[in-house]
Amino acid sequence: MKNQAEIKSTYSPIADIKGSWKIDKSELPTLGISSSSGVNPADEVRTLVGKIGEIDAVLEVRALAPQAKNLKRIKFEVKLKPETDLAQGSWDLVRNLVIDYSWNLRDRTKEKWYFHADLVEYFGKTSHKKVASYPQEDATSKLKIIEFPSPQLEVISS
Amino acid sequence: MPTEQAHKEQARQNEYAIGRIEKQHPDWVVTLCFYAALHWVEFYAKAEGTNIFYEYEDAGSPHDRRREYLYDVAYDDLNARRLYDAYTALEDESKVARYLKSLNMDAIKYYNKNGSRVRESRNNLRIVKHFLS
Repeated sequence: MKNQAEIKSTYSPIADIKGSWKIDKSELPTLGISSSSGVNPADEVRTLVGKIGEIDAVLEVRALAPQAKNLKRIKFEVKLKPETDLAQGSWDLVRNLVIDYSWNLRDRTKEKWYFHADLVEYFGKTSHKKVASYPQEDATSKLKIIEFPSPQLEVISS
Repeated sequence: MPTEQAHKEQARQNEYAIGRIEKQHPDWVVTLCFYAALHWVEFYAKAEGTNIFYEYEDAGSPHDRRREYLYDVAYDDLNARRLYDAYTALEDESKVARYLKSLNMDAIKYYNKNGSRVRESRNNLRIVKHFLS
């Protein structure tokens, strides 16, 4: 019985788990972790993008963070369907939804959220971080199959 | 740097101009409503001793800084969601009027056809003025 068997991979370890780990706390917001309220900003942004996308007149949405490390300040760029008549209030619906959502987040978290909806006719080049989009990009169409050799494991009896 | 009185005067001048051009240029009425509101925001900030451009530097453009400042005022100080609603509606409507955003006709034709949008802008300016003047 090889209860003390040691499995040794021929691959280099990704990290030495015995070593000391450091977390750059300035990176935490990028990961969507809200330290004081427990709300995940990236999840909130994705949820709101989905809700905007449900409005009939909306064609596409993208949520941009001017500062990659602050997902509480988001610009929602929204394209409406070409036949949309603005006078019917479609854009008012989008703007009110975005304000409702961020106002509610302030109520829930007691933190400052600045969400703003911007009506655009095309998505230009941007240096801002894209946090979410509608329709969602089809991840599978961009998936590349990369062939890896099987790990060569060696069992060593003690 | 303009004083709070200068912003108040400019807001009033814009309001005066609205009445003078309403029939001929409804598109510029919409734009003037927004710029009158903008000067009421500046007036309020100066009166409260807030330097929007310094304290809201992270927001980006001057319009973004002003809007975020007003969001904080509406939420934290005045508990007046409709103030922020009114200001952002004015800002958006003025972009439609100036840049023809999502329009397939010129702005004068659009606002002559949709007079309710002009009346709504005038009402939104009244709301902004009510809270900030």
